[in-house]
Amino acid sequence: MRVGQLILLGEGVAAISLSPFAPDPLLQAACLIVGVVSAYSAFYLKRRLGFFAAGYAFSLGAVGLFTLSKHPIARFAGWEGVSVIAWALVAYGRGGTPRSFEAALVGFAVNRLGDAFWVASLLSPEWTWGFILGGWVKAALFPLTFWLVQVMYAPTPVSALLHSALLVALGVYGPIQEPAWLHTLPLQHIQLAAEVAALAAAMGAFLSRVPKSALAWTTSAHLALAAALWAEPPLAQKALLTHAYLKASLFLLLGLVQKSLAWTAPLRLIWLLTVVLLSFAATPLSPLSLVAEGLTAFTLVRFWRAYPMAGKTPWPVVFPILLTMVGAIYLWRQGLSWHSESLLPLLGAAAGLALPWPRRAYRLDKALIRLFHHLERGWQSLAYQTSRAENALLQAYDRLFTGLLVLMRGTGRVEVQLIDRVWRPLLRRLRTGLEAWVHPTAAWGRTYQPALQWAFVITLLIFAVWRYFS
Amino acid sequence: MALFFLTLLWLGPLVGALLLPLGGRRWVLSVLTATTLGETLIWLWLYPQVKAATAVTAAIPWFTWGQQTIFYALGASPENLWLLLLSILVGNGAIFYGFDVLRLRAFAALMLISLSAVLGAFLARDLVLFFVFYEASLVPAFVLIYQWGGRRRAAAAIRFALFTLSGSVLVLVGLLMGLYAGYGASWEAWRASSLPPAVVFLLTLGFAVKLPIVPLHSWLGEAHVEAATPVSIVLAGLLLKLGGYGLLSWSWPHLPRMALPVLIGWGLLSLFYASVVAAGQTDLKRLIAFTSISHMAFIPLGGALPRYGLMGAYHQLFTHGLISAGLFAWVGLLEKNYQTRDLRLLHGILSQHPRWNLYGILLFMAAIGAPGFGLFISELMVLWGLGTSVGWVYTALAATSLLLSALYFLRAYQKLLTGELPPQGIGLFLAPQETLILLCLALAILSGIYPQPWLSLLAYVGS
Repeated sequence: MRVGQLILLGEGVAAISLSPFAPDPLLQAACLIVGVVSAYSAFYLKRRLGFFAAGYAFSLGAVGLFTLSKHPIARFAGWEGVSVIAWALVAYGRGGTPRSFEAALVGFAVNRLGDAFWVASLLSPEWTWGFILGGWVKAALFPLTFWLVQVMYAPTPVSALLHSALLVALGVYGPIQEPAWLHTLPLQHIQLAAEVAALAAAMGAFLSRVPKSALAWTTSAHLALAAALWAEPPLAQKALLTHAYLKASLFLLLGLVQKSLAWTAPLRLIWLLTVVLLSFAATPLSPLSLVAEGLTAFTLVRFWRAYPMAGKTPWPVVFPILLTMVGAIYLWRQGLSWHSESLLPLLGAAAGLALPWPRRAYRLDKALIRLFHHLERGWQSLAYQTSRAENALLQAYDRLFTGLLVLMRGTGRVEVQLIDRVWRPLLRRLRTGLEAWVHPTAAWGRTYQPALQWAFVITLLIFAVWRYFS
Repeated sequence: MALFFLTLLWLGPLVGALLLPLGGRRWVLSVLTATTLGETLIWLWLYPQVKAATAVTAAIPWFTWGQQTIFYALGASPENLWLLLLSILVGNGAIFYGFDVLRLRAFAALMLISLSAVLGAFLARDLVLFFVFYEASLVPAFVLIYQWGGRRRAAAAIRFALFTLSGSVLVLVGLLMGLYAGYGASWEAWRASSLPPAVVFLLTLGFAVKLPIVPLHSWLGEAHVEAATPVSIVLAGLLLKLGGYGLLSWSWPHLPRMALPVLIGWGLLSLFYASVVAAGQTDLKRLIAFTSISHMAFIPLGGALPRYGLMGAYHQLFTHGLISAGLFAWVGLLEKNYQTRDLRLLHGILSQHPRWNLYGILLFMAAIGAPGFGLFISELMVLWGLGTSVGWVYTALAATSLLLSALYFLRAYQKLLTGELPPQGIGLFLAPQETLILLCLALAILSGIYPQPWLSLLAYVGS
């Protein structure tokens, strides 16, 4: 056994052991899920095991910071820390390829937009809409599901974590942690919006052909159903945490199926059981929720048809089984209530058994991801244009300084003219006169010296006469 | 005792600069080590005293000017204590970083003179003394850019001098107006009452050139691009901070209430404009220069606010000084290996150097303001100040910088890590250079994970 595997296993055991002592329900779920996913990764992943172990540990720490801290800045550090670690896990998970970086950047950038809303509310107590908007982005609720579909490029264990207890879960859990915030908002309208988002995401899953993308869309649908329960925090928490355990299980199962590109009977059975349990996670509030849940269950069961039956069941199936069991126990302890409406999701699940895997897919996120890239291209174009404006500004300053220099030079020229035309001739004449007085030259002396001498003598005489008579 | 040690703190580098011509490279190394150690020890002596008494000050009369007595007054307080540490570490670290330059002794001497002036300006407790040091820092910086820069260094140096001298003229006029209006030049007298709006306006404009705030920033891009890397480190890490310190400590202690919306609007303009321009850059140094302007926009955003805003602005000066110094040091490493800083030519280089890749992503994350780094705490505090004092709209607008910085930094990082590899590059192990990067990173992480030593002192400033 390699060192990396030992580290991941040790981390798994430690996280699961810590789980009962976690004082917060989300942290408890996160410990358990990170523990199981960590142990699963030890056998599923082949390279960069230490990196994944570090990423899991940091992300768990960030969730702990968010759930346990009372200080707004520390809470925001946890909230955003999860995004940063998710970026690293997605970007480097497959060895840092351009595509993985692209996916990671889309996820991180959209999350940061949500963070801006979240932090505005967290630090401005009078404005509570930011929690909802930030949570909406973080939970990848429709129409912002596209970033979650993009980060599907990460290895399966990472996807299992990001879709269950770590990244998206915070989006729904954040607002319900402080119910006082929520009561200032029009929760009925938010519920309606969340139900519409759930239906749209269920439609996205239904139209998708790539299994992991379809699973990502179902995550968005389930989280939207949980968000629709924001007015009833205990119910929302139950829906969220049940979803966390069971969706992590589904991802781990899908990872095993995709590795051999085949189903086996036990895998299908656990898959079906998990999907059925998942149908009971959220309490349906309206026909809209029921339809969304039915469509999601239908899509999930239809996964049976994505791959043929072949081969043996791999032994790491114990990890998803463990998570499904934990999810079932959690659901049981929270109260597994049966309603006649619950038949609809079950009927949807049954219908999924019969229908084939779609041959053609329609990607609802395509338009949105295109919009994102358009926006980014626009941003780049703006950046280049502004850089030109920056150069123009620089040139304007240069002109200003050059103008000053020209002014100085002009003043200098006037000064030169003054010296050349006025002062220098005057001084020259004065100097020549004085020189002639002291050392008369032939030409000059002959002309002016006698006159000057007589003028001097006459002046002296006039002065003497004036002094005598005054 | 306090006067002796405070004087020694700024005089030490100056004496070191005068001693440098007496020996060869080994002598230069000894002198630099001695000044660094000496200054660090003095700072370690100051820290507990400031913590206990909130300020260590000393003053003697310098000269009399009309009715005013100008003091040779120095002091260490929560406002400048961390900036002093930043100056000591980054200023000396930059000299060690540039130990392979031509004409080492002249270079090191000028860098030490510059450091001495910066330390003096941070320590000064009299506005006239502050101005003397503030002006003195320009001369060595000008010569350093002019002598050790790139191809267009002369133009960059002259532009730097013209801009900063213009700013200094405004500061000088503001200072004289304040003095003639009867406000004493001492720290306590100057900050005791509200200054006339004209004085605040002139000082703000003058220091805003140095910080810089858009549109008074045009000197910065060229100066950073053309200056040698150690000089860029000092420019971004220390000299810009002088402008910020001037604004926070000398211009805005009692800002008129009506100026607040103007400053916030100005800060937001600077933040968005610099972010947009940064995204369009292909030269790594210019990119970092514009990110510096974008980050420094948090000074006008938080500096005029009470409590958290002001604390965050002071904290930002320290953390951004570290991170920008680290980023320039890192770009210098790449340039030394590949003889270029052009992002279009450096595709994929980080995949060749795992260690530099690690430094790069840590520095970029630090500059993005990711949790766990000092800048995260600073920016959050400014946002908090905006949220509690002004309103959530401004917090939300300023918080979009989180998104913008992620876009331009991560795109640049993506280009450096992925793509076709360049043909050359030898991957030198450069101990002094890497030490400076590690030092900056270590302090940036420490101030992000355990910010208590910073915040406990800055709480005094905020109150």
